Amino acid sequence: MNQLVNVSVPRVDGFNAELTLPSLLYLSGVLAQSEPGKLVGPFFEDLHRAVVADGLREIIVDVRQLTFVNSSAIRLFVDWAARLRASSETEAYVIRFRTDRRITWQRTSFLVLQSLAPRQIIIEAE
Amino acid sequence: MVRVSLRPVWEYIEGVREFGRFFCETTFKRPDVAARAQVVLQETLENAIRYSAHDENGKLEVEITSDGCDLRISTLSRADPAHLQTLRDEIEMLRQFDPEAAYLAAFVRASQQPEGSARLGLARMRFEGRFELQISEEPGGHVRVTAIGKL
Amino acid sequence: MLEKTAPRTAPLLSRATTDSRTLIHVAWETGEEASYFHGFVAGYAKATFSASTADRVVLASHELVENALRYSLISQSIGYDLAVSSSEVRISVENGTTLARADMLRTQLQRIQSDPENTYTTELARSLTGTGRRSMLGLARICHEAHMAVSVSVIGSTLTVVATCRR
Repeated sequence: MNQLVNVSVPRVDGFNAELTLPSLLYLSGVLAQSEPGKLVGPFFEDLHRAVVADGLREIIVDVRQLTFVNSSAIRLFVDWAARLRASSETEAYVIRFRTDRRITWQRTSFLVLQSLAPRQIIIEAE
Repeated sequence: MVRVSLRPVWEYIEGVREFGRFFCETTFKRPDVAARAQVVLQETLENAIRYSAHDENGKLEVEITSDGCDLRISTLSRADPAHLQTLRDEIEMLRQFDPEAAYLAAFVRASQQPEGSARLGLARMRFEGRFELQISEEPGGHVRVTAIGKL
Repeated sequence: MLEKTAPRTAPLLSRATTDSRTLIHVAWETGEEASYFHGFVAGYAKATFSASTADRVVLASHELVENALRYSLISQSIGYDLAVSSSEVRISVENGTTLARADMLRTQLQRIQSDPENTYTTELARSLTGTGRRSMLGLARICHEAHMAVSVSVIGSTLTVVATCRR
């Protein structure tokens, strides 16, 4: 059964998450709220569980229109990388981030993020 | 060059951040400087507000100055004394590493402490913003955090 | 004839009623334009006041700051203060000035206050033909459109223009 289709996308002012099957997540806007972990964290947890349950080998995350985030939002990606690293071999999948090298936080943070799970995080920079 | 004073309310961060960004873009005519300032403003304001002493009439002051070589962004607030030492220790610890290594170390620490506070902001200012940080105490229990970066 | 100019001084902070509390204070050296400032005030006002009060605050802030930037002495600081008390909202803008400029502003304000609506209409028409004074239209807008009371004071070489309205 396709679990990804049941993942509920959060509604946050100024931020947009769009899930397109089979495996494209599009993030846009600004994510700089006081507790993005509470607002958006559960979504990323559900997403991870759904990707594993559906046996997907890769999910593409397009962040090129996510123009600004605070460090608490960057933490969401760190937590996702940690979950990925803790996955078993059968659960393992790849996150392919589509980034914009002109956006400073993307240029600096995603390369560092990749260090946490170098075989499971791929960075594409246009 | 510009100083903004207002109450330490989270909802005002976005406005001050964008004000500072546009100010830097207009003044220095360099989008890269504006983007770096944006990061520093967001992270220092968040810290200042999150760890301010609870005081309805408290004041938060942000100052952006430059001597043509350096850009200085400082925030002045009344800090919770318990947090002040943590902040000092964190800044001191980060100074021992180059900015990229410190940022990676902060990522690793955060990944190992899922329930803990991220504490990525200071490391982010150094690496992404390319600012070094200073902290000083001022009269009335106020703390000034100054971020200094090259233009 | 040389205009009298005053030596550089920092803006003085002027205070209103005893329960007045500053919400925002911005001080900066004169620059060419301040579009970033207007966006900041607009966002702040909308988050803080009712829609109608926010509109008035935004309009008055815009016009006062634009006037200060346009007519300030070079290298003099500008100070903007937005304050509230139990009964009113108060916007004050301070900048370095010459005696001639301060006198001109007083005269303009007296004319506006004697007949706000007609002065506004006249200045608007003049602005469309490029013959009016921009500062006069700005002050007329504050009085007529925003329904705010405006006063001018000079201490030393610092001009303060204050716009107030009831909350």
